[in-house]
Amino acid sequence: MPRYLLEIKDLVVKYYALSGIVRAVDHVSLAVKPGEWISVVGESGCGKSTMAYSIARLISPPGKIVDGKIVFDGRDLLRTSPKEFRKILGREIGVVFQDPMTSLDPLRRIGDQIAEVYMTHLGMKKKEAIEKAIEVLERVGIPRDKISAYPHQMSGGQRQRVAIAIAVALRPKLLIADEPTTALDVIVQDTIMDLLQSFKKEGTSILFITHDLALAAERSDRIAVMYAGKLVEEGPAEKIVENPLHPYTQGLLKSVPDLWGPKKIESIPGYPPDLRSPPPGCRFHPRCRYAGESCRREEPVLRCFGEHCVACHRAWVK
Amino acid sequence: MDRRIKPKSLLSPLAKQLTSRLPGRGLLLAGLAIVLLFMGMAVFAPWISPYDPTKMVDKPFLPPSLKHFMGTNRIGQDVFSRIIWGSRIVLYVVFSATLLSMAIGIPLGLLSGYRGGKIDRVLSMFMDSMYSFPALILAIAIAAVLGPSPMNTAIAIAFVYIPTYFRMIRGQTLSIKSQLFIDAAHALGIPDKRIMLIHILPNLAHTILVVFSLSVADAILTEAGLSFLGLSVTPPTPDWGYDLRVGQPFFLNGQWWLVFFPGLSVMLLAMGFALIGEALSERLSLAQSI
Amino acid sequence: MAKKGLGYYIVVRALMIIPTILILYTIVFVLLRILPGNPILAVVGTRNIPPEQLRHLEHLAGLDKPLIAQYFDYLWNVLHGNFGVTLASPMGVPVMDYIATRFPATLELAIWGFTFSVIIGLVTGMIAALKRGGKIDTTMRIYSIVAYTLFIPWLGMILQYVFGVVLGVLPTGGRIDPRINLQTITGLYVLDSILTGNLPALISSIKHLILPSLTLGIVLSGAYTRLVRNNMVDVLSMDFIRSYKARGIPGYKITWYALKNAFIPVITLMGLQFAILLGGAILTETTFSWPGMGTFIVDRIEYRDYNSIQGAIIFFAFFVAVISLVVDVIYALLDPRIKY
Ligand SMILES: Nc1ncnc2c1ncn2[C@@H]1O[C@H](COP(=O)(O)OP(=O)(O)O)[C@@H](O)[C@H]1O
Ligand SMILES: [Mg+2]
Repeated sequence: MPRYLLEIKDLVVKYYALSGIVRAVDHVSLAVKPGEWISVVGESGCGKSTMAYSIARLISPPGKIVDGKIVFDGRDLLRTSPKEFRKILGREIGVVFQDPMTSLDPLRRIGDQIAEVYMTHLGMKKKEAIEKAIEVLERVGIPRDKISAYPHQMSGGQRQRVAIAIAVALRPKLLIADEPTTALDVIVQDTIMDLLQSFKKEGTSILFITHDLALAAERSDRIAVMYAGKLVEEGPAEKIVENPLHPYTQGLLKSVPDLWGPKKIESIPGYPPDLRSPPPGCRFHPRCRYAGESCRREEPVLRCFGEHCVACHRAWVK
Repeated sequence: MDRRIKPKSLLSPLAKQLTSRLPGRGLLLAGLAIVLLFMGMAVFAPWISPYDPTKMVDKPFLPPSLKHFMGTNRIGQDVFSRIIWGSRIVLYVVFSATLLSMAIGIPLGLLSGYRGGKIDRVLSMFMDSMYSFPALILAIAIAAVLGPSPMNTAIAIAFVYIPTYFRMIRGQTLSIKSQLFIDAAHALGIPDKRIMLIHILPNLAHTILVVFSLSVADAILTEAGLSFLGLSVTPPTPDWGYDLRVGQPFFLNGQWWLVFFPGLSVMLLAMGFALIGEALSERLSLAQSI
Repeated sequence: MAKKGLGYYIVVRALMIIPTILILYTIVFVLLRILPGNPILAVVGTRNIPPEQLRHLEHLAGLDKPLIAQYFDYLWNVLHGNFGVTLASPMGVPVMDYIATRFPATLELAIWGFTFSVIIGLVTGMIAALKRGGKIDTTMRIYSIVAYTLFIPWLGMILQYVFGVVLGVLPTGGRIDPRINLQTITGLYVLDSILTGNLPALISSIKHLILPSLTLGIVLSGAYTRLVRNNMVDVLSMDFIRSYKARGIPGYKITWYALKNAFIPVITLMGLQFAILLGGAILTETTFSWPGMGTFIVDRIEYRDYNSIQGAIIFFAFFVAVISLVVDVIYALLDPRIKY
C-alpha cells in the first residue's frame, strides 16, 4: 500500500483576470493518506477551493494550473488524457460543493441524476442503476420515495445529502468536500458532518475544505492552514489546536465562537491581501502582531518539527 | 438633495460611450457611421442626388454604370436618386412615428408605474394585450383605414410602438420608485409631478436611448413592410419598400439592381440603429451589474 | 404539486385569455370605427351611389345600428364563428369562408418558419456559447443582428432568384403544383398529403414551403441566436454544470443538459416571436404569392373591404391568444419548478 493516496507537489494556480494576474495557489504541497480526514482551513479567498478543484481538474479559464504535480494513487493526474481522467473523476474521486441549492440540475429528477453515475461509469442499465440509486439515497438518510423528486422539492440539507450520495455512489477513494456545510444551518451542519464521517469510517479519504477551524478540529486527523495562496501550517489536528505555531492559526483559533454564543471573541484584524499583488516577505506580516524586519523582507519556508510543519520566521520566538 | 439633471447630462451617456474603451465600442461606432451616412443623404438629398427621382431621366432597365450608379428602373428613373430621396421618407416617417409613440408611451408609463393601483392595472392590461398582437398586422389595419400618406403611416406605426415604451418606462419607474431617494423626496413634500419629471425621468435617459434605437430599427422594417404592401406612399414618391415591390418581377428576370439596392438600404439603416441599441444596452447591463 | 393539477392550470390560464381577447377586440373595433371616413363609401369609391343601395350595404355591414349595439352584435357573432360578410368583390360572402381556406395556409407557413427559426437559433446560439469570446462568437453575434434586420421581401426575393431562377430547383410561388390534385382535410398540405398517401403532393408541397419558410425562419432566428447564446453562457457558468463535470459525465451530455436549461427562458420568448412571425408571414406571403391570411388582407385592402379586414384581424387576435396559452402550458410542462 502506498504511503499516500494523494500527493500535491508545488502546485501553482493563477487566474488571468482582466484586472490582473491572481496567484490563487502559490507553491502548495499537501499529501493525503489512505483513509485519512484532512481539513484545509483559511479565510475566504485564500485559495482553498482553487487548490481542491485543481485535483479534479475543474479549473477553467481564466484560471490555469501553471506548475506542480498531482499524484493520485500512483497516477499523475495533470498528465492523464481527458478520457482516462473522466474514468477517475466521479468514480475514484468524488466532489461535493458548497451550495446545494445550485449544484443539482433543476430540470432532472434526483433519481436520474444519481443513476447517471452508475450508468456512466459502470455501464449499468437504467433499471439497475435506479435501484442502486435508491440504495445510496437511503444510505445518506433520504427516504426512497424521494427518488422521483426534483431538487426544488427538497430542503437544502436534503439536497446536500443527495449531492453527497452522488459523490460517494461509486465508493471513491477520495472525497473532496468544499465547504459542504457553509450554506446550511447549524443543526443540519452536524448531521452532514456525521454523514461524511461515516464514509470515512468505511475507508474513504476526505479532503475537507472549510473556513471554520473549530468545525475542522472536531473530525479531522490532520489540518492544513492556508493563507493568501500559501500553506502556512500543517499537522495533526490536536497539535494544531493545542499548540498552533503560526500567528494566523492562533488568530483563527481565537476567533472560534464562544460557547455562549456565535460572537467572535477576538478576530484577526484586517483582511487577507489582494492576491494580484500580495505583500512581500511573509504574506501575513501586515496583520501579524509579532511581525519583525525579516518578516517584511523574506518569505518564510515551511519547516517541520516532526509531523508539525509551519512557515513562520517567528514560530519559536513566541 | 436636489438631483436635478442638467440637459447636458442627458446626452452624456452617449458622449461617454463613444469615448470610453468599453466592449461594444466597435458596434457603436459602426452603427453611428451608418446612421449618420443615411441622415446625411436625407438632409442633403437635393444636392447629392444626381437626378430628379420622380422623372424619367434615361432609358429603362439600364444596369449600374458610372452614369447611373444603381441603374435605372422600368420607367427610366435613376435608382440611386430614388434611394437617396427614399431615405428622407423613411427617416421622416420613422422619426415622427417614434416621437409620437414616445410622447404617449413615456408619460403613460411614468404615471402607471408611479401611481400604481387601478390606473396601472387597466393601462397595463391594455398595453400588454396590444403588445402581444403582431405589430405589423395592427399597423396594416390602421394604415389601410387611414389611406396611404407618409403622415398616416407614421400614425399607424406610432400606435403599435406605444406599448413598447409604456412597458419599459413603467418597469423602470417601479424599480426607481422603490429606491430610497424617491421616498426622501416624498418626505420633503415635493409634489408627485415634480418627482416624476425631475427625479425619475432623467434616470431613465439611458434606457430610453436604448429602446429608442431598437424601436427605430424595428420601425424602419415596419415602414418598409407597409410601403412594400402599398400602404405608405403613392407613386411616384421615391420609397424603398414600394420600389422593391415594383421591382420584384424584373428582379427575377435578372434586373437585380431594381431590388438589391432598396432592400440593402432598408437593412443597412435598420442595422445602424440596431447596432447602436445593442452596444448601448450591453453597456447599460454592464453598468447595472457593477 | 404533481402533474394532476395540469388540467386545472390549463383551464385557469384559458380563462385568462378572455380579457386579452376582449381588449384586442375592443381596440380593433374602436380603431376601425373612429377613424375618419365611411367605410362603405370607401368601398364604392367617391362615386355617387343610390341611397337605398348605400343603406343596404350599411345593413350588410351592420353599420345601421348604434355603435354599442354594433359592438355587442359583432362580438356575439364572432363568438359564434361568424366574422361578418365581405363588402366587395364578391359581396356578401362570409369572411369565415375565406378564413377557413386561407388560415391553414398561413398556419402551415408559420409552423415551418417557426421550426426553422428555432432550429437555426438553437444551433447558432449554442455554438456561440460553446466558443464564447472567440471569433465564432462574434460571427454569430453579427449574424443575429443581420438576421434581425433583414427585410423579409428582400431576403425572399434573393432566395427566389438563387434557388428558383438561377438553380431552378425550387418553385418561387404558390403552395403546390396546380396540376396535382390534393384532397384537403386539414388544409395543411403536407399533413394532408401524408394522410391521403399522396406522394407527389407531399413532395410538391414541401418544395413550395421551403423558400418562404426559410425566409421567415432566418429572419426570426436572430432573436433566438442571441437569447440561446446568453442563456447558455449563464447556464454553463452554473454550479450544477461543474457538478456534472465532477461526476465524470461526458461533455456532450453536459452540453445537452445545459441546452435544456438554456431553453426554458427561450420558451417564454416563443409566444411573442410567434406573433412577430405572423406579421412577417404577411410580407412572406405577398413575396411568394402564398394564398394565406396575409395575401387575403392585402387583397381586401385594395377593395377597401374593411369588414373582411376587421374579421381577419380579430381572428388573428384569437389565434395569438391561443398561442400564448399553448406556450405557457408547454412551459409549465417542461419546467418542473413551475407550480400549478
Ligand atoms: N474565476 C476567477 N477569476 C479571477 N479570480 C478568481 C477566480 N476564481 C477565484 N479567484 C480568486 O482566486 C483567489 C482564491 O479563490 P478561492 O480558491 O475561491 O478561495 P477560497 O476557496 O479559499 O475562498 C481569490 O482571491 C479569488 O478572488
Ligand atoms: Mg471557496
